Amino acid sequence: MLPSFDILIFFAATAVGAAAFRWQTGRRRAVVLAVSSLVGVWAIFFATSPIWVFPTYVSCALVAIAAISLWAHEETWRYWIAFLLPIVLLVTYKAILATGMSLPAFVGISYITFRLSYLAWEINGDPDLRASRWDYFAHAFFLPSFLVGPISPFRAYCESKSDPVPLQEGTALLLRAILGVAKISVFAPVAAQFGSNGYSDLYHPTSAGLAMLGNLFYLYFDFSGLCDIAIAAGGIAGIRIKENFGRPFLQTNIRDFWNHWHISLTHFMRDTVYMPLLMTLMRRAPWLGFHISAAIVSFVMFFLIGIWHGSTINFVLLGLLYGFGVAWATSGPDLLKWLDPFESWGGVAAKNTVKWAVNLMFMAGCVTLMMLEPAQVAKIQNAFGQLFSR
Amino acid sequence: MITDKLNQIIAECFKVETGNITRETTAEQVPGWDSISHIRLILQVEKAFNVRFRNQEIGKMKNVGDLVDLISEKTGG
Repeated sequence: MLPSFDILIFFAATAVGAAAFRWQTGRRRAVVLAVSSLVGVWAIFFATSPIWVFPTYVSCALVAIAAISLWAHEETWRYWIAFLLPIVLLVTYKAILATGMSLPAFVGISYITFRLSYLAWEINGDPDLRASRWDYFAHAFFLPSFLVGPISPFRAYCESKSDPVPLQEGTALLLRAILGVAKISVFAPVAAQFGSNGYSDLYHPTSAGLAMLGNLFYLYFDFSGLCDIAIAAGGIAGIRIKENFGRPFLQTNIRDFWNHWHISLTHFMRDTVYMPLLMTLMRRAPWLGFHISAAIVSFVMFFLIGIWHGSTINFVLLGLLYGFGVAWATSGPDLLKWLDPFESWGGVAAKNTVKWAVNLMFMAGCVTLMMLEPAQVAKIQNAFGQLFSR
Repeated sequence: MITDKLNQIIAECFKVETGNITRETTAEQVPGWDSISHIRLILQVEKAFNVRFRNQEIGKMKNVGDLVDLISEKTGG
């Protein structure tokens, strides 16, 4: 059985880009990488779209890149144009979609806009990172990470130019890509069978837990598998791509979980939302105190993450739940502290085990909330509506 | 002078010995130094040295030496 055309295009475009990145220098390297990524992205995602779609998409990115080139390094209000323009494009697109209007699929729009905003943020903090527009374009449209990220920093791309991933790591990277394929094609479908859309009944008390865990592991294998392929392909091209997962299921609280799950999104939101907002609150409203300020900022940040996923009630709830979990982990009391004196009796180990289990099921519940189908979401909305109408 | 004062602040924040802090010390090497405690540290440093950091500057620091250099730049010291 021949590989599909999409996969052939993916590998061909990645190979051309990789060759350019490793063996070309200067402007030509960036141009060839940018063009090969563009061709690959068009061929895989936009070849069957109406003819105006891809040029429109690229034009929006070019406008954002122009703004970044002109203003990202400035310490004036013009920096905010460079930083916010990609976000405005994303919000506008999602807002129009949310009204029910039919829009073409701007595949990968979230990750491109986040990469571009982050690029503006990085350049503002370190003007030495400034490079050519072709480099910005190559970074934004980099084919391996186009669809699902990671939101790798531009710094990693720049450092790779002078110190590319060694070819000697090729075997390890290839194995990583194979692992990624195995995660997507074997482990994820198996986990999905146990999920709420598989054999487990979400509404039955004895199988709800299994259904939620199935959903969580399905998402993990699917998403981390794609990231493994992206990181491997990027590494083969010579470009270091940020890791996106780091053993999230070993963590014992939501805050640590998010530091090990979708790491690039966490860091992007931490750098551009959490830390600036927290610093502002602590400076302008010190009377709130650190814990309340951190809790407020956690809710804001995860509310944004929630509605980025979608605009229905389940995503709003999702964001608030994440925010609550992180706020509790940061500032809440340790309800199992009473086990600490029993360390020699296994008290601390028991405490950590309970925390780990609670954390795992909490995340499983949150992911399930995200994966609910429209009929299930309508059920939740009706339930809330009835609750507040009494 | 800046280094000694900063090391003192870091030692108090994270309950470590000042002797264990060098210019090359990174957040990963100090237990409890995460992004949240980093904010608390920065606020204390701002108060102690009467400086103000921009958000991008806070995120850019890789080690204690970077923080020393930034304080030095802002205080003219």
